[in-house]
Amino acid sequence: MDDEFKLEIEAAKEAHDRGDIVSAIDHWKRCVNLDPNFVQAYLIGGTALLQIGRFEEAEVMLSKSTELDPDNIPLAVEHAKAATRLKNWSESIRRWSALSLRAPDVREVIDGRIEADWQIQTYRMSEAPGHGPTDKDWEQFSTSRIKTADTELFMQFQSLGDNCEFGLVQRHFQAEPISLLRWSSISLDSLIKIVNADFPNIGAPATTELAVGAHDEYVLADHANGIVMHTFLFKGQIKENQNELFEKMCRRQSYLKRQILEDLADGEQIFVFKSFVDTDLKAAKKLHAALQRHGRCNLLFAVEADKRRRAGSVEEIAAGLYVGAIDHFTRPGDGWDNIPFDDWRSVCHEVLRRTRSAARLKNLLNRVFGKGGNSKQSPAQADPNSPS
Amino acid sequence: LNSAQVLQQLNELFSEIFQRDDLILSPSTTAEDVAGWDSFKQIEIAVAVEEKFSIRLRTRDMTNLKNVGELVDFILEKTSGER
Repeated sequence: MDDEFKLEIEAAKEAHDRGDIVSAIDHWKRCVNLDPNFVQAYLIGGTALLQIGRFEEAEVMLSKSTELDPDNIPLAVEHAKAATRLKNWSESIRRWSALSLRAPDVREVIDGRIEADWQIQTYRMSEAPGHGPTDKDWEQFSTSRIKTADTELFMQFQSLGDNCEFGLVQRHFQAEPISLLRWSSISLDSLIKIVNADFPNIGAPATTELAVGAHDEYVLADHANGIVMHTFLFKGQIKENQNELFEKMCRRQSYLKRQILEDLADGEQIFVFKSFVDTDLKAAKKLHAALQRHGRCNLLFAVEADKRRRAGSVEEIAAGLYVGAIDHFTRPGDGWDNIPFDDWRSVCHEVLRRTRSAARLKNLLNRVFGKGGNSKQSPAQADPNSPS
Repeated sequence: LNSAQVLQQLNELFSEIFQRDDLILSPSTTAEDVAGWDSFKQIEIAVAVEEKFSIRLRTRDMTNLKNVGELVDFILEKTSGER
C-alpha cells in the first residue's frame, strides 16, 4: 500500500510537471482514497480543481481537509477561495473575515481578500438585488479588512516609468510603495539599457545633478542613464544647503538602486511600464527579457486602448508579459485630473489574478514537497503554514 | 542597545529628518501622527536608520512596520542578529 501511495504521489507530481492538471487531480484523489488523512493531497488537489473551474469538487475536497487540519492557513485560503468561486457570498465573507483576523499579513490572505472583494463588489453592482451578500454581511467584511483591497492591490505593483502617472494612480488608491522610478521620467530604450546593465551609476555624484525646476522644485537629473526625478522638495523649504541636499539625494538613489535590484531578484512585485510614445511590443519583450535576467519578473506593459484592445482588457503576450489597455494616458501640459483610474484598477486586478494563480500551484508543490524531498511528510514536517 | 536607547536615537534621527526640535516619538507613533511623513520621508528614514544602526532595511520592511515601536523591535532584532 505504501508503494502504491508513493507511486500515486509521484504520478501526480509528474502530471503537474507536464501541465496535465486533470490527470494530476485524479492521482491526488487516489492518494486520499489510500490515505484519507493525507492533508497535502486535499490541498493541492483542491487548488488544482479551483484552477480548472471545478469549483464544487474543490469545495468538497477542501472542506474535508479543513476538518482534518483546521489551523492550516494555506488550506483555509483555498477553502475561502472555493466559496468565492461558487458565489456563496455569505460563506465567502465569513471565511475571509476569519482569515483576515487570523493571518492579516500573509500574502495569500491579502491576495485572496483582494480577489473576493473585487468579485463581491462587481456582483453587487451587476446582479439583481437579493441575490448578493446582505448589507450586514458586507459591512462585516469591509470592517474586517485592515486596508482597502484597492490599496493592497496597488501595493503589488512597481512603476518603471515612463513618467509619474502610475505613481499617481497608486496614490489615488492610497498605495504608497517606495521605488526608484515611481516619480521619474525615462524612455523605454534607456530603461532597457539600465535594467540590462544592473542600474549603473545610479546615485553616482559625477553623473548626477540637482537643479531647480518648475515651481521651484528641486529635480534630480541622472545624466548617465537619462532619468529625471522629482524630489518634492522646494527651494526655500529646506534647511540644508544645496550641496548637503545633493549628497543626501545621491545616498537615497543608491539605496533605491539596491532596493530595485532586490525586488527584481524576488520577482514578487509586478513591474509596470506605460507610455503613449514607446508602444512597440517588440521593445516590451526586450524589457521583459531584461527584467527576467534578474528574476522571475512579471511585466505589465500598459498601452492606450484602440480598436483591437478595449480599455480595461489584458492580454498575456508571453509568459509573464501582460499588455493592458487604458483608455488614455495624460499628455504633457494636460494636468493630472483626467486619469482613468477604473481602467487601471481593472487591468491591475486582472494581471494580479493571472500572475498569482499561475504561481500558486507551483509554489504549493514546492512548499509541500520541495525538490527531491520525502513524498509523504506529515503536515508539520512539510510546514504548509509558512507564509510565502 | 535596549528599546529605550533605540527609541531615543530614533527620536534624534526623526528630529533631524523632519527638522523639528519638538518631535517626541513613542512606540505607538505612526506616520499619520507626524506631519510630512510620506513615502519620500520614508526613504530618508530608511537610509538614516541603515547608516545609524549599521543594518539593512528593505523598503518592504518599512511598509510592513505599523508604528515606531515595531521599528524599534525590528532594529533590535537586526542588531542582535548581526553582532
